[in-house]
Amino acid sequence: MARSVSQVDSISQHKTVSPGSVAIECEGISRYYGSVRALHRVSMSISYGEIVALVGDNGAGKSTLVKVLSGNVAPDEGKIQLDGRQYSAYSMQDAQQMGIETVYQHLALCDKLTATENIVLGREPQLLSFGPLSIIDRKRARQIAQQSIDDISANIPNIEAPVEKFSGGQRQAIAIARAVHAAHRLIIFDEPTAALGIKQTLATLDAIRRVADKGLAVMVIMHNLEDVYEIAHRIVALRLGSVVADIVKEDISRRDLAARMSGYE
Amino acid sequence: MNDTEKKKNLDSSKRSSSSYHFSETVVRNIILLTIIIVFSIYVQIQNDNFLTLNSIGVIGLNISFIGIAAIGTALLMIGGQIDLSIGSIFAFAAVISGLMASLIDPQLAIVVGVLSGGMIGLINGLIVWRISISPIIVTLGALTFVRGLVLIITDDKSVTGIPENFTILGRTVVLGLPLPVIIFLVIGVLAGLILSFTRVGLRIRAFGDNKAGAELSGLSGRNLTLGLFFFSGLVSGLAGVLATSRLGGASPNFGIGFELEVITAVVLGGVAITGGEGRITGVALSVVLLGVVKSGITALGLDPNIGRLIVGGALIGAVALNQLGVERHNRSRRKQAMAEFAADGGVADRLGLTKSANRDGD
Repeated sequence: MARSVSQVDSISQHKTVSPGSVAIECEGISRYYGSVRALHRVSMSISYGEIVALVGDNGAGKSTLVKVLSGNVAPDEGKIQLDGRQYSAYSMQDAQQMGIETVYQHLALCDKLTATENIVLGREPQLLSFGPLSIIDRKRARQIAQQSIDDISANIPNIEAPVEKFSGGQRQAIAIARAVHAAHRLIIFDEPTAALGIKQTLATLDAIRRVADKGLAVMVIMHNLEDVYEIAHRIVALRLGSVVADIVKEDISRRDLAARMSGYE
Repeated sequence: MNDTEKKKNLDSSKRSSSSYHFSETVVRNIILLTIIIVFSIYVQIQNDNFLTLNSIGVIGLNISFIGIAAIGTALLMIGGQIDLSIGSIFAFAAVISGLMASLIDPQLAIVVGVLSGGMIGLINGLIVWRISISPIIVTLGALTFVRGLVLIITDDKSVTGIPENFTILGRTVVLGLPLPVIIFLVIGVLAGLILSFTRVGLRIRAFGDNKAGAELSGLSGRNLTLGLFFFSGLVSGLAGVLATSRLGGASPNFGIGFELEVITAVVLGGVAITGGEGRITGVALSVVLLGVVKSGITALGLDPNIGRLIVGGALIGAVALNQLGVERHNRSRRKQAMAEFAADGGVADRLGLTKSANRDGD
């Protein structure tokens, strides 16, 4: 039986994952906005260490699926399975507790905060605990931030500088580092390279690869098929809310993929 | 443009951006401090009674009421909110505490007066949060509503007959400093420490900077918003109670224009009107500056209404400077982006003409 949001169990932040085992699986997910069918019986799964590219034309349902997986939107039908437990819906906080993080297209960074502050925001290490007045352990926060940045081999020259000082690529790296610090199951990237130049794109793709190398499941929404083929292990294509391809990238040509996405086969 | 020039451009724009951020807070505080010192010396030369211990004590006392309220408003504005009703909250707490002190119990009057300010702030916060209306509209309404309450409660008459023991709070002097000044300093220091070193301080700055981003980090803004409005109302109420205690009475016209002076001090002190940025040190310095200037005008024998011109002008000037700073920063960001674009291969890369070469190179 599918669990509701109130039945979500807390999962250890330090659970051991087996590369290749399924991190998240959704089955028969449908979502309607009034009479508009955004998702129709979508089923798919992502394994630990795997990079799945979610592709599709505008209005295909990519963003809605991301919102469902990240807990922003509850599906009207279907269930999501995590570690053998089924959920009919969960909140964003539940998703984060279960180790699911999203790196949004429009970066959700706080410009005036430092890179360190952005990375630990919401999970600040404490020197002394007094509830909301708890003193932040700044040394530990710097260590966490540096470790998260090192994990994706990003180059952030001064993690104590406000984020607004950094380039687009560096800001994207900070957003990824934040997700890496928080996630222990799945990181969803919403158009991570849309606003970046070529070198910054390459650096970002490299960072995403490192996230998967760490054993985390990765879902990437992308329009650029060249980038998709460069980074993804598997491709899931949506059209008009339905899955039209769920295939290992070596088994489908770009032309065929584009044809399935657009419907002009 | 060759690679060296591209790199030079990139480094130069990064330095420019960096130096702007480094200097902004420090330069602002140095300017404020310099104006305070220079103006004080000028007034002292014109009137040798200006910088006496007694006169400094009076100035300190006058600024403490605005300063205490300014600390709450600063935190609220850094958190991305604003409360325009603090002048009426100040008056409400003043008359409520005065009435209670004269009719019931002086100690209880202090507690009720201060908490009444906090409750009005909390109600403002609840409306802003629950109905998602602009805090400017909500608190502008509250400004008039609460002032109406004050006038009705007092029948538009001053509150008098306050017992002596209620005035202890406002008239006590410790180590040469009036108690309201000490309270201002203590609240200011605590607020500064909270803002810089605690979890809630970081979250206040985060929400003021990017509310949506902070929420996507899993944070809930509800308690933070309510807490900030409550605290702002609480300290405005405290200022009102202290004023009644100091003066031994309260007028229903207390605090008219108070919010303007407080917000001027906060903005002049470097708190961004858009939220997310500001330090308590700058706010405290600008509170002192406005107090010194107003007292100086009196000491120079000038028309006291010039003080209004200065407060209004300072607010416009501070907002204008803030905006110019933002524009300058944006220009610097654009320049940096262009330099990065050029360093990244520019148009050729964007068009994919050098993409494969780049990828091969990597």
